[in-house]
Amino acid sequence: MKTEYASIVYDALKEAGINFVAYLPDDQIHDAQKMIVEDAGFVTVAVANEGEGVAACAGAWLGGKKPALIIADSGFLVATWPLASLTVSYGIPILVIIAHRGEVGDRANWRFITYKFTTEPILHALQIPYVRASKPEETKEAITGAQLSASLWQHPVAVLLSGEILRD
Amino acid sequence: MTRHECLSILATLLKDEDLVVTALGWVAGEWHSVRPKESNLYQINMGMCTPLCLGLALALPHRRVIALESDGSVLLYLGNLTTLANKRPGNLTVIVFDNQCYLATGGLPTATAGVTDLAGMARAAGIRDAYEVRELGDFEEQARAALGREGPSYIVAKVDPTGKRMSTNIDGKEAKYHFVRYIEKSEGIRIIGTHAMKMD
Repeated sequence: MKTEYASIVYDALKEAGINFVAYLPDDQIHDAQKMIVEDAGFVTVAVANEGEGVAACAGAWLGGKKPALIIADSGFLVATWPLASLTVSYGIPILVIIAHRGEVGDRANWRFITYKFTTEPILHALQIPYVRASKPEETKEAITGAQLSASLWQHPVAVLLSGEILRD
Repeated sequence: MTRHECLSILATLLKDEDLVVTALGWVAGEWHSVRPKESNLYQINMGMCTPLCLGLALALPHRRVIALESDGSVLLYLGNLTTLANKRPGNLTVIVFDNQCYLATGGLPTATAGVTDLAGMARAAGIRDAYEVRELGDFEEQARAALGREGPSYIVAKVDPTGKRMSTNIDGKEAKYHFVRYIEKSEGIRIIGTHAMKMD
């Protein structure tokens, strides 16, 4: 992710009111994660497993924070059960930002075709609404809109970042 | 030593405003029977109780947060010990009621029935104040110390594989609303409905 694109993600999270972030580093989004960690305005938790990140975000929301989980597709797959059993079942509004690879035309290797076949179908199966942002100019609205819906619906909402916004 | 005996002691050590979150299983009903307060949140699914309490403790650093965990739950997300150790929430106490089995689902043994030492693992992860207790007097002493010190504290209470199936008479979504409304009231903040709807 280019530095200016990382800034777009970081600025959008601030504008959305996000003030708690659980994350596990990912190659495509670590620049944005680093900006967030260095900003004392965010409470951050570096997790060992994305599933515990879901739970930390849920606890933070119960305590009055506006949480986001920032992860890769692989981490989303790891987090499916906590997302289902905690945030979907209870109706806990967390923003899930997923650096999504494996789209047609993506310069990702054979390993990433897994996410073409899994990420979106699993979001549908979990009944987690999502919005996609591929271009820098649509990213801010996707993030702020997703947080608005999460808050109004009392439900997790995801943003799939893919394509140009993730490129180096 | 039974979990219910430990819970009865713990209830006498807490203030009404202390936030207590229970794992899944019979611990929820047992806790509700000894301390039925609005500052309780019950039945957080396997593995999620301690990490949820970490988020809660970081969000409200001026409130004491107590996680009532089980061995089976902790074993599911052991990596969380490292997160807890490095994040060091001073206001969090985790009490693991280690009955060495999956009691609520048939009683088959957990790893702690074998050679696994949870308190030792917590210390090795970097949680300095991690202790195992086997007697009620030791439990009370460690619980009192944990609540009085800068945490995190981690108490592994070795308890008998017995329990009572008691209901909290509350489902998960209802519990969420009760708990959040209590936090809103006690903190003077708004959590639900912070985005005003515009009808146009």
